[in-house]
Amino acid sequence: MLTMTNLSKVYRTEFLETFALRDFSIDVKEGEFVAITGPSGSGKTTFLNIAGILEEFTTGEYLLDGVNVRDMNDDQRSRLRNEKIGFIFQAFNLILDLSVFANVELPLHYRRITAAERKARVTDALRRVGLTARSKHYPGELSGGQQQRVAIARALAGNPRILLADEPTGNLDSQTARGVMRLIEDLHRQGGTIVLVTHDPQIAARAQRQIHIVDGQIVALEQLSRTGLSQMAATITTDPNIHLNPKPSSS
Amino acid sequence: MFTYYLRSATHSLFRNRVLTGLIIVAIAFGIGASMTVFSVFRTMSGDPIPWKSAQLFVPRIDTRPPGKRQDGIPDLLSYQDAMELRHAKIVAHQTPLYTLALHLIPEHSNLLPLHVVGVAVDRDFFSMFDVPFRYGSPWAAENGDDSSNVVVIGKRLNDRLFGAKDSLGQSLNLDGTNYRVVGVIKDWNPQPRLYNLLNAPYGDSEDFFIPFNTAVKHKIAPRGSISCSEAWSERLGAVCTWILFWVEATTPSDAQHYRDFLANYAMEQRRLGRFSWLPSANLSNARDWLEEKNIVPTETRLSLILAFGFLTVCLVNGVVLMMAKFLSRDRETAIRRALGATRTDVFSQFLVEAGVIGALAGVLGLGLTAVGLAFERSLLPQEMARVTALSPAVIGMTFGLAVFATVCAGLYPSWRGCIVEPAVQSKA
Repeated sequence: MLTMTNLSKVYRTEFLETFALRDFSIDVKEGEFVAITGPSGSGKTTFLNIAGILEEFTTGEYLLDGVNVRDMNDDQRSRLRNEKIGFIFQAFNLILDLSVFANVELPLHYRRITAAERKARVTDALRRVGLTARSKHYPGELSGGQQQRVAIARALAGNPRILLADEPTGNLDSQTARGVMRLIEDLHRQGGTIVLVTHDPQIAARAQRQIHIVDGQIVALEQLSRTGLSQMAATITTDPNIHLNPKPSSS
Repeated sequence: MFTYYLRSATHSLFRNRVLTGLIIVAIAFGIGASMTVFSVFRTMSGDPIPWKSAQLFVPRIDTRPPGKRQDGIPDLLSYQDAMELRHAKIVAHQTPLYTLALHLIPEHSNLLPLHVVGVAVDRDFFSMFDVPFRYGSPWAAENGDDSSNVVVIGKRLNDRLFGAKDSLGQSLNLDGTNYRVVGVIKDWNPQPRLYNLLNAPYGDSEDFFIPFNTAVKHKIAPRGSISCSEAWSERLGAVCTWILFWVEATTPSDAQHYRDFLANYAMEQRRLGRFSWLPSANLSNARDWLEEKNIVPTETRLSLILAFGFLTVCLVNGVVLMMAKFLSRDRETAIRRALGATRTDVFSQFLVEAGVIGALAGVLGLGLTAVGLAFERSLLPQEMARVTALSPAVIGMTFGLAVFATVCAGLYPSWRGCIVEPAVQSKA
């Protein structure tokens, strides 16, 4: 579903080359739930921006759902992003003077979907996150958790091939965060492919697989089974904050 | 998608009302000022029959000695020259023309005598200048030839005397002579009055039209320019100039043919001993003649340049304000881009927003133009003031200019607004 091979991202100045990602390779299978962890400045967000086709990379290959992203122009990248990817941002990134309904409907406009289908999709997405009654409200009238659920509905409305979540619980209190994570896990159980960036080991532990990034490189890889049996790979992590807690199987 | 852009644009107007208001006011003032001056300019300089003006010509012959020609070639012909050109019949349609002012004695005793203004022309005049008829038609050729007392009257006079009814066959007493009404024209008042530019270029159309031969037969004096005394015999000579002559040449070769004829005629007059110097002959089409007459004062041209300069300044202000408005939404733009909006989508959305702002500026600009024209009318001579109105054409142009100019002014801000990278603002 998402395959990066020897991908590098270099920020160049006159005197300095900084590798945000170096020889980065990853393969996320369809239906997988992968957590990307790492300390600040490790390259997590750069990875997510590139994975979300929000940012270009310097070298390497990136295939999204079988489509090679490298040689696409800006418009093609926008269309691919619109069709294949659903974003959930830490800061929700809702447009404050649009209603909940209009926010969720937003990406569908750029896909030139008919009004009737837009309405059906938005209604369904809001139902899935339990916010049907709030469709006419504005983001400012909602709690943080509700706003994040609107953002999730917006991501779901487009029926994306993959969901990219950047610290989705970062701005939420722990109880609300648990609710949002339950929603993300539900989506995964329904077959969704999810890549979640977080620095919270407890959040990361709820994923099937964890990838740890330090200085733009993968340094630890944990493969956790959905049945919660055992760790399948050696932990090489150098980050003392990361404690991998295999999640008991919910099935 | 356009509907969505339009809805978003309308919604966006209310986000920063002060900034939006400033843009609208800035552009509306520019539009109002420029369209006010342009309306006056247009009235003064417009070609009233653009579809035909290239085919209508004014033949002119200057028989004065070379030392007396400093003021250019005279527009009017002597009776003798006019009649020679008329009888030569080089083109299919032609007419001599002069202005008359008469007293009309109404049949109804409850109406006071009226001072009416008209022109003496040949029947070709009506087809040459596409004069529309409400009732009847121009007089028959034989009526013109045998100097019949027939008259075509204008709509205003027909309304006043006959209550807008069909007045064909009715009698009109003009300076004691009865004329039979053979035609009533519709509401026709080209501005400027190209065919009678020398007498009164602006104002109401003529009250009546009578055959040229009839006017001469009754020795009706011309009103306006004349280069001799009041003695009628002198007017019918070769020196006194008082008749404007029009010919219609439908093709360039017809025009050239007439030009050659005119030059030959002038040389022939010299050979006949009318004068000893080389005469000057000229055939100008209506457009060139209009330009040459320079009926638009220099001040008005200067005002027009200044007004459009002011519009440019206002638009530059609009550009800056739109830039501020669009760039203040870079977070929203980044979100839209992240969710799949292409640069073209964002650019189009901003441009539609500029168009909506332009439309509102157009509405306000129209109001300001109306106020400006009302003020202009208080300063202009009465006959010009009457025709300097907010016509449907001016309304359309004002609105169109506002939208077009604002969209053009919005191009750069829209471009700047759309190049926001999707990744820049998407992370908290």
